[in-house]
Amino acid sequence: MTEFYFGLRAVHMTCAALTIALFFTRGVMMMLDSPRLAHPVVRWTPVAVDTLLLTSALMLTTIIHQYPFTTSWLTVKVVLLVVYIGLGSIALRRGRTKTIRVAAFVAALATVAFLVSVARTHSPLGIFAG
Amino acid sequence: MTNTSRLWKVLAILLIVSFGILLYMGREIYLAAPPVPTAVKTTTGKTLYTLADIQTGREVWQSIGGHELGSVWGHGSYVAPDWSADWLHREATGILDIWAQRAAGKKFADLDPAAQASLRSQLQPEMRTNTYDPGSGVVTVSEDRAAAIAVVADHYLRLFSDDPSLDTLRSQYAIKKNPIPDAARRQALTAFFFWTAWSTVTNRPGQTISYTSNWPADPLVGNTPTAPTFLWTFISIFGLLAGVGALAWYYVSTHGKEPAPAIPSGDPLRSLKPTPSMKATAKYFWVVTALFLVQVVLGGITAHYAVEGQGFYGLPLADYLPYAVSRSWHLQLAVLWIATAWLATGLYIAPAISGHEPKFQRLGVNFLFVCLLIIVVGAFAGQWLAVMQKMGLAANFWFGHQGYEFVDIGRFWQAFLFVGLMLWLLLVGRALWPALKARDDNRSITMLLFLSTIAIGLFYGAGLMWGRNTHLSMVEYWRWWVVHLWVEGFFEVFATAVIAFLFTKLGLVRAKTATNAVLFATIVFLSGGVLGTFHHLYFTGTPTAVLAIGSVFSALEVVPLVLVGFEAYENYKHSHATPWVAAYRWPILFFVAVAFWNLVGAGLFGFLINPPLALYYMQGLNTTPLHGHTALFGVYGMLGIGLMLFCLRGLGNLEQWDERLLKGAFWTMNLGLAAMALFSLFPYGLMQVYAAVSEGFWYARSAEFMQQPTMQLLVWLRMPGDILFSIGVLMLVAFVGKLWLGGGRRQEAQVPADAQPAARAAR
Repeated sequence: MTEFYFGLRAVHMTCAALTIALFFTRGVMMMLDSPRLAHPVVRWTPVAVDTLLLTSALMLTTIIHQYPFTTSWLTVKVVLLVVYIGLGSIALRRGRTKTIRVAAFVAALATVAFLVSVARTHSPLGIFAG
Repeated sequence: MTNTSRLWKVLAILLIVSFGILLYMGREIYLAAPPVPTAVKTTTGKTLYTLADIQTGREVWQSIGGHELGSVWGHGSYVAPDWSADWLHREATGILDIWAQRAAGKKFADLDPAAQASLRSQLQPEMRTNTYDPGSGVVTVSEDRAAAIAVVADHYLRLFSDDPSLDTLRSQYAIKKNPIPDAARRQALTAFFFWTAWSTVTNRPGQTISYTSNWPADPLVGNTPTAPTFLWTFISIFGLLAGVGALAWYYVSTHGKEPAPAIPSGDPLRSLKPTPSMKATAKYFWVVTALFLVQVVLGGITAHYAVEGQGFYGLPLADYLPYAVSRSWHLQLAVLWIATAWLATGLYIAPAISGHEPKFQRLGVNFLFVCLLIIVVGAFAGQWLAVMQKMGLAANFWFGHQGYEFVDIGRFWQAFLFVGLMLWLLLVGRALWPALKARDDNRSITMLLFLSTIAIGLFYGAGLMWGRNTHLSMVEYWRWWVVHLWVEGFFEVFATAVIAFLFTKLGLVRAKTATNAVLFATIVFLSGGVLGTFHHLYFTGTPTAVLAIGSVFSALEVVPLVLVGFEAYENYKHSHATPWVAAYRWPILFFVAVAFWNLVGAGLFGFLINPPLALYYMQGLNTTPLHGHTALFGVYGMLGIGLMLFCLRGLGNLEQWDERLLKGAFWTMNLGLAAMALFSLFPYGLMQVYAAVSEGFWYARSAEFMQQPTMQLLVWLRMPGDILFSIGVLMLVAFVGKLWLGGGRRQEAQVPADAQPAARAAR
């Protein structure tokens, strides 16, 4: 499986970029009150991308033999991911007022930016690592 | 005579003739089964194995999970090897190496082609000649073969211990470390594996084919497809095409001749008031959902063992929940949650049909529920204790792991479950009794539904027909009475009858039309289904007649499945028949999915592995779980969910009925299942078939082949489909959880606008 490492890493990073771009787009649509936010393509494309993202992530963990809850930077990634999903859900669906939704959207973007920095540095401190 | 009574007569005659042949062939299988020798001796009189060794070895194999860890005669699981094929090939190469060493001082692989060909020509008489003496019951082997057997046995003794030199191979086979700590048990296990391999290569007396019709494919020892394997393949395809033509003719000639029903203006079931016993079935559905969730988690764990043999993302899971246990529970839970959904549906609709709530019915429903919980917990605990080798072999048979896929809970738990099924029949029967006595249009279809439930209950009894030392060929025979006659016989009848019945109750189909259609479908299903049982038994030490009858009749099973699109379309039309039907949209769409997967999972993927020549190479490869997942979940799982939704609609609390969750669950589960099949299991299976045809069956299941990067990648390609499927399951759990716990969105927002007034009225 190790021969697939670089290919999988490329798939993983591409999907990560795509999912963040899609989230950003949907956030902007939310702010513009676009009715297309509920369009099936807009709703389900991120699910397809996230499925590939998660698959490649799980494959990578078994190749490098580093797993969440045993390797600290991966633990931080998983925790940040849960926070990001929660904030994203408030931003796009659950937030009662627009202010709450926009605030959640900004917080979600900040979270995912830090998450990417943790992934790039392989350090739980991410961008703040010395 | 009316058309209906004529159909009943045809059905009765069909069942008498089919079961007569099935039983007669059982006798033939008994007589033609490969003998279990009293002893295996060398030409100089040294005893290698005794009858007791072989019998004990089989019990040891059962105790470690049997079919749930590798396979025997092609039946079982797919990560560890097929022990019969693996032993056979190792023994053959072992003999060749001994001869090569003696002749040239080299290993066989290092000889030149001419020398190899010379030795190979001596190998086949050495291994295929039948040396079993019926008088003494002794099998005699040469000293060279005995030496090769010792080498193979040593490999297995180390494999099933904690020998560090085989750590990697154990992990690749998803076998936990030190799976059999007792050395005597390990020794006995080798006797059983030897015997299963011996049966596959030893010629039947007076014939040139082995006891297993030359299965598994291994050209080295002369195991190639037999002439009947080719012949009956083509005859079966011929029969299938003729059957499809005949049924298409029948359908076109009769379709549309029946008068259309007068569709009621409102939901006929809206006035239905659940009785106390009907309300008591609600908890069955909560448990069904929980069991389904656990089953899917265990499926994920089991699939992951194919890439990380003893762990789960770094967690040493095999120490606590080894592959053999996770797979056993995954399979048993599939049967259990689907069966529980059906049991609950039976208990729910019986009083609804008859309008009769017998005395103590609620108590009976609650008592049965407690019994089922005890059976699940007790049987599963027993299987865990067995695989962890904490049981004696006798206790293992009664309370532990019987090792026979789908019917592998301990005998005590099997008997308990049988009693539970009889109690269920009693409860359904007494509530249905007034409806069964009534002389109206509904009587026949109610009777057919009841008969299929009786058959489901009674046929589990076939699983009690074997004992600790019954011949393996006969165990397979009875095992498939349960598994095949359930899933390819009475389950199909139940599915057709229950769906037609519900549509009749909703007034979307005339009772008379439905009765005749269901009776005809039952005759078509069972005309292939009963004798189709033999398609599981082509290579389990049975005579050629089994292969002939099995291939032709099981091909006929596919006939109604090819044309199931008609039924699917009719069902789909019902979901748009009148505005109030929108309230039943998702149960009906799950029934449409049942028809779709009946065509794809049962029909296409089933027939892919059905002709003898196909199964000769494909048995025990990933083409089997391809059929297994798409047919068992695709057809019966979808049916279980559809029935559950139908009953839950009647049980109230509709303020929490969340159509969005159902829609999401429906599509993600269907797409996930399709993705798992098409991206992973199908291509993986086909790659294995290629390897089995070009090298031999042992190679298609070897670590050498399965650990190649491409094959590992194909395992991982399950993941996108599995993730989608899991999302669907979570949505279904959330849907049922909302109904149970309350809260959530109101229905008005979910039901299409034109259906709202009727949907409200339905409440």
